[in-house]
Amino acid sequence: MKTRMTSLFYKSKISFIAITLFLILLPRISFGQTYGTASHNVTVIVNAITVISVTPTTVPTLTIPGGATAVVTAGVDQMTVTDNTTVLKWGTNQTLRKITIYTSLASPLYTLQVLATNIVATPGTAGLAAGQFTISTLAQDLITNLAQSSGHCTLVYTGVALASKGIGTDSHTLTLTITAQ
Amino acid sequence: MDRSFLRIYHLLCVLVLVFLIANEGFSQAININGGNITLTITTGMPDVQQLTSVTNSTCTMQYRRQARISKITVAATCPGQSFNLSVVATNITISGTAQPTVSLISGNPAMDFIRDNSTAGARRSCTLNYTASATFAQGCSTNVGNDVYTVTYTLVVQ
Repeated sequence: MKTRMTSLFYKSKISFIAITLFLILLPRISFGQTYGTASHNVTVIVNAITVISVTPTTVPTLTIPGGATAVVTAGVDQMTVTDNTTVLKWGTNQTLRKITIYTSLASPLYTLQVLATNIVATPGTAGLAAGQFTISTLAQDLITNLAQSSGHCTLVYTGVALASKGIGTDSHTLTLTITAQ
Repeated sequence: MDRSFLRIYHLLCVLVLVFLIANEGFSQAININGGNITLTITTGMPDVQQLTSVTNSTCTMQYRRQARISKITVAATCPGQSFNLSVVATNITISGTAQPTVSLISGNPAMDFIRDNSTAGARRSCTLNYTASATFAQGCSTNVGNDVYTVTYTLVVQ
């Protein structure tokens, strides 16, 4: 009986040592030489961002008949002048936006028209330019169907004057806005 | 029978204790201070595809020397990842060489973050420099949700 108990005792001891050694070495063996890990959470939030700008920031002066592109024809009442030095730039990370334009001048003597051309956007979902139109105090669509993108285009302003309107000056403050479509 | 049962019971208790001690030592080899963090992108420039990136360096990491030269790797998971996150180690004290900035892409294999952690010296630390970036085309959190990364650093033999 005593021999059996002694045998059991030693067997238990050997098992104990073996298992203990195994557990101590377990991290270094079974985890492929991994000593430890640590983690935490990092959250990235991107706000809704919409930006727009024009360069130069001042609306160009269109002069008839002195402008470089002025078209004045003897015997014709309508005179025109164009300017394409303004670049419109934008960026939006929201879907389906449009750019509108309006003027502060309620009763102009002459007509001021605008056309967006050479639209370049990244990615290539460039947006759709409206045709040339007369700028009024009501916001009108200049570019529609803008996707999440950044880009630029050229604004071609055309001043139209009738000789019968005489001499004068129209000063416009133009406002361009990106809004939901 | 009862004595044998008691002996086995005591043996199991000791084994559990040893196992817990072993794992305690295992988990403290590396740890992060600073908890969870949030990076918010708020601005961009017209006609510039990339939004203004945001950085955060409020978290530090401490790690121990080991019996063999070791390194730290970094990996991340982010279900439905929409934006970009990268990390680089700075201000390393005592030992270790920072590796180039790691772009954290969900599910990618772990990349080296710090190498050459020597076997000598005291407990060392570094700053975790995170940079979040995005493009206009990647949208905003309102539409695609926030990116929540679980970033895991692992101290392994080099």
